[in-house]
Amino acid sequence: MSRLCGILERGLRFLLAALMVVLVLVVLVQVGARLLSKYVTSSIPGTPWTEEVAGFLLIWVALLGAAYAVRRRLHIADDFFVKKMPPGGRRAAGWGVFAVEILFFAGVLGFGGARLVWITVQLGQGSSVLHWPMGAVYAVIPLSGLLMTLFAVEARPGSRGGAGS
Amino acid sequence: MTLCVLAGTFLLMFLGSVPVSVAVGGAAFAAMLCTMPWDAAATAAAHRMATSLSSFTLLAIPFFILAGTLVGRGGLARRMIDFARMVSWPVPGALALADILACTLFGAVSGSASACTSAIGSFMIPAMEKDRYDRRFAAALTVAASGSGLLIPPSNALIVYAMVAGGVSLTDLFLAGYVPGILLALSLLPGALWVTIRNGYGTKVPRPTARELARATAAVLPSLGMILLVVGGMVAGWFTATEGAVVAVVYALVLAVFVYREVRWRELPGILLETASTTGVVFLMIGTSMAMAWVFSYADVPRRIGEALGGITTNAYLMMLLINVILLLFGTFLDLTPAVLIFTPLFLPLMERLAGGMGITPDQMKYVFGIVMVFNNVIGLSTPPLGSTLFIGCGIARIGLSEITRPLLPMFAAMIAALLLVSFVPALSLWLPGLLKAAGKG
Repeated sequence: MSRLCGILERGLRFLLAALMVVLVLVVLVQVGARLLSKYVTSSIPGTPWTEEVAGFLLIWVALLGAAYAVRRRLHIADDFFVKKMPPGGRRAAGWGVFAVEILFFAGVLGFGGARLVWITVQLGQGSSVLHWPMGAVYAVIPLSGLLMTLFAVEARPGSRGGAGS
Repeated sequence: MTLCVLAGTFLLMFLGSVPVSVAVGGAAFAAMLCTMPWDAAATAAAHRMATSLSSFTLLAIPFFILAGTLVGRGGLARRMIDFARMVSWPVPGALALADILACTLFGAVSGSASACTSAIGSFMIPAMEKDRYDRRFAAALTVAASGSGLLIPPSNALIVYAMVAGGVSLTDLFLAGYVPGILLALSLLPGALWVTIRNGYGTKVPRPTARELARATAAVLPSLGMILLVVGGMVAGWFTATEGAVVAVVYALVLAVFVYREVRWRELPGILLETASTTGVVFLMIGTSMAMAWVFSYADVPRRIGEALGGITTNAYLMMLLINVILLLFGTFLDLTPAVLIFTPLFLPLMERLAGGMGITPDQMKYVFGIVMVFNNVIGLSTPPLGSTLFIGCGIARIGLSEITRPLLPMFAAMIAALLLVSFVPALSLWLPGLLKAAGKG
């Protein structure tokens, strides 16, 4: 389990750094093209595709980054009240948190996201500028939901697993 | 009914230490279950999250985080502190003033209050203690001053606000933040100097030579140049906030790698990864908060809140006061991003309707209210029981929550006075954007 998650995390690290580089480059192209056409020559074509691509990349970076943050336990939680509970209460709260996380990661992001992808593919919905299939863009929702579920299960209460602690 | 489910489940999860973003999303999902089957609710929640994230405006946030991390690595804090110490030498409590100044400068450049508290605090708190300051006071002052950078542009909190408020020029909103941000920092000064002098804190800082002063100034100018370039470029119409943010990334990269030589090429993947994971944390919060805002509008909550509060008073100033109290209360335990996302759609329409009562247009109210909103939550970052900068400050100074709270209390009073001033005098926010607009026309 923790070996699988370790491999997935290494893949995520690589993918996230790469996506960030592409994201920076895409928006740089947009700024460059605009400034050139405004101040140098007007023969540079507009780049409406950059905004769209950047928006899609952002969803990917945000959700995969969130999945990475689940493994590293970086999501902000307030344990102010739980810390004051007796050990039994703290254990119960730990399992409660685990249940809610699984419900949200697997149910909303995983299942809800998969159903969204399926519906989008059925409708053949494309993006407005490049006509990219929106199903492919949304595929990151169930993907990140799956990753988050795995990472949450790995770090379930009582286990020694998980990267952060 | 929907609202009860939403509030109940959220509170339960929040107190049970579920991560805030998951608690917000889970509560929104639970509230949706009241009116639709579970598979449709899950799909709608996922859809709402994804569409709200693919916004070109929000893209500025990871870029500003990246630029801030690049510049913040290495010696930024040291340079800001050197500069701040030298310019504050004539003042009796020189280090107290220097602490406030360094926090404001660093916060404005890095755009992160937490990074500010840890970077400035880890230098300044020991330095102040060595200079006969009380450590608890030094920690409290650093924590309180760290928030001012969130109002001074570029500010990610204001970007988040602009997205939910809609129809706001980000350039004007950024400009509106300057005076209130500086006012927040200044409000801490009289009290800090008074405490310093009364308790005999601090020794006299030697007068710097002209050469030292010039060298320290030359060291901070390139980092401040980044803000100047971004905000100046936005005002001049060269680029949007997002494009300005990517320009800031390039500027910061050149500065950190080639000029200051504090970041090496092989450190870049790590910095990119750190940015992506911070983005993930913030954006999961944004996505789930937008799902919750959608449930609110679905359940007609803004109108009902408007009616409930509108029944109490129709005086614009009293309403502003009332909303400030509510925001301050929630701000003590809710983080900045979700608070802005959740409360803006609830209170902004109400204040827009009452704008005439303060002698401004509804459109101008959007800017004033955005500043007030962020100002409130900035104070919330440093208020017990929960606050990110508060915890970091306690950690660095190795003191407990109760020890930092006492010296913080008068500082809250000063910050709240500044907040009320900004709330009731719209000109403080509107003056600078208006000035530049007039200059542009003339």
